Amino acid sequence: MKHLREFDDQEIQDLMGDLEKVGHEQLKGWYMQTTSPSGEGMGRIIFAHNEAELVKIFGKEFSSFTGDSGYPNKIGQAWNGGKILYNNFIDAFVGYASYFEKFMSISMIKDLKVRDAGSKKPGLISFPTFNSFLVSEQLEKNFYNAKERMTSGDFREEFEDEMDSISI
Amino acid sequence: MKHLREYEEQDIKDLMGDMKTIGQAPMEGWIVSISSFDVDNPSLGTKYYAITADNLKEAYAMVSEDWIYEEEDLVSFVEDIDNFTELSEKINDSTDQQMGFVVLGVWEGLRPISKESESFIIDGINPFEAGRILSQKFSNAQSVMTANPRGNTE
Repeated sequence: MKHLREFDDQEIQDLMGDLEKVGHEQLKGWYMQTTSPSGEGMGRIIFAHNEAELVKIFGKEFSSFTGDSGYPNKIGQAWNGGKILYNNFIDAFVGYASYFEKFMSISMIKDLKVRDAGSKKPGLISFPTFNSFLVSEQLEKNFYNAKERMTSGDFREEFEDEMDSISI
Repeated sequence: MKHLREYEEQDIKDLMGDMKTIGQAPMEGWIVSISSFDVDNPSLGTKYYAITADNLKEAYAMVSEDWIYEEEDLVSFVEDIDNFTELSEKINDSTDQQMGFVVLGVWEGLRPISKESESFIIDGINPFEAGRILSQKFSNAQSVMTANPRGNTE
């Protein structure tokens, strides 16, 4: 006889935390979108198991930034990014990039659930953002919850505030 | 009994031409992906013009309306313009490169939902929302943009 058991989100989070403690880290996902000073939009999909991998990936992708004195560095358990201390590298990078105006704009979507995580390696995929249908296709191809994360709550409100229109 | 009749592309074009001659032409649609700039107000990334108009000149005039002085005559401003890139260059020159936009891609052949001329600016910061709104403006936005990912350069 089969039993069906319901788990709430917290139980699943705890279970995943336990697995990570015993060395079974899951591949996590982020989406970063930037606009360069010349106005070019760039999307970056990032996969990593942990912070050490993230630091390596960012170091490779942004090698021209790593020599900056303000580039995120670890102070004890905290990360220093743009004169503010953060508790993780990703937030410190966004803080650093914003403070030192490395991009005209930067947005970071966290907690993305990676599709086919078993077949993916830590790394980064970058692409231009001038065709929204191609960007959303990439996001859906790589993450289970990208659409859900990006079309609800604050992110959506922020987007709708930016909308502008004219008609004749 | 119902009959199925096959039309060739040319038949449809001829029919649309006939409708145009009697003033019943369907509205046309364009999506223009741009990166706007303003030296006093930094760019926030990709935006899209979603334009529904009777013809290209009207589309150029609606885009120009956003950027040039009110007193300037829109019709004469766009008279010698042949494509959206040329239009952006003329607009940028008219502001002494203080503000304007760079064309990243142009898609034509869009089927507008609206029956009236209109021009919308859609922020591209959220690809899902931008795609949703573009699909509200044109019934074939997704198929046109995925079939030609880079769009035309002009």
